[in-house]
Amino acid sequence: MEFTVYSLGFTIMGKGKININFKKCRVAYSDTEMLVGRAVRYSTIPYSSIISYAAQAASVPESNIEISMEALFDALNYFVMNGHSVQIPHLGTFYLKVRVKSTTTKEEFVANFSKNLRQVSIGFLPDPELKAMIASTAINTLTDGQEGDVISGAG
Amino acid sequence: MGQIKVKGTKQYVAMFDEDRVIGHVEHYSAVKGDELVSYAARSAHIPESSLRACTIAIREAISFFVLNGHHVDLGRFGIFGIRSKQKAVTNAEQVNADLVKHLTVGFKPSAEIKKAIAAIHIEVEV
Repeated sequence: MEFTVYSLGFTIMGKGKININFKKCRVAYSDTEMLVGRAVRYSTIPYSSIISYAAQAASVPESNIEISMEALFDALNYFVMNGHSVQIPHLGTFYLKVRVKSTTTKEEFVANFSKNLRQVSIGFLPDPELKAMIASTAINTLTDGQEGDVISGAG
Repeated sequence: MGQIKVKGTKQYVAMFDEDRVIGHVEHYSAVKGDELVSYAARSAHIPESSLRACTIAIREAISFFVLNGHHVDLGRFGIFGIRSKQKAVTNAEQVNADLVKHLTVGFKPSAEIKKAIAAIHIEVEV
């Protein structure tokens, strides 16, 4: 299956392919130089292009997509920031998480909470549909930019 | 401004080899996709069908771009991109696709979300 993204002027295959580039770098735990892999990032698709793309794909005006995105964001922001986990259909679930230093007693936990609080952040769990797509993505390994092994499906 | 409750519960921590008090955000409920779409459509006075088409189109955009190695900027939400976990090896001959252990879609929140998180009021409960 092949799709043409008219607004961006290039063609993308329906099934994904990810390049993992292995580069030499120092690994602290083994204190040696090892080949460490990282997914190659080609570009960051800007928000305006995503809106154009989504409008073409769904055959709805761009303004509708923009208003929908704003409405979804406001709803998500309201629920997540008040302790609910929120599922965006076909995309995934967003939730809040905290990192706090553990303590031996409950009294100590409450008394030192502000001192022990490390981070409050937002987590994202991809939808099963998206996970299935990830599982069927082909992986190509590169060593300093040179083509290597290819497998179909990440498992 | 949001308000969350952080609950401290005792559980075994392997690193210390003892029971310790661990904090986690209390989740009041899981807002399902349909509920979110209905709520968003009502509050923004737009048809639910338009919102549903939007979510499908965005999923498609993410699957096309992210699963082909691009990052996707979803405006006020943040940036979605592919994340992988793989074993490190000592020489180039050992490099193969089986080293890739995990592939997932990662999310980096926007500055607006980070600002909203920083303004959250936290209530502690044990």
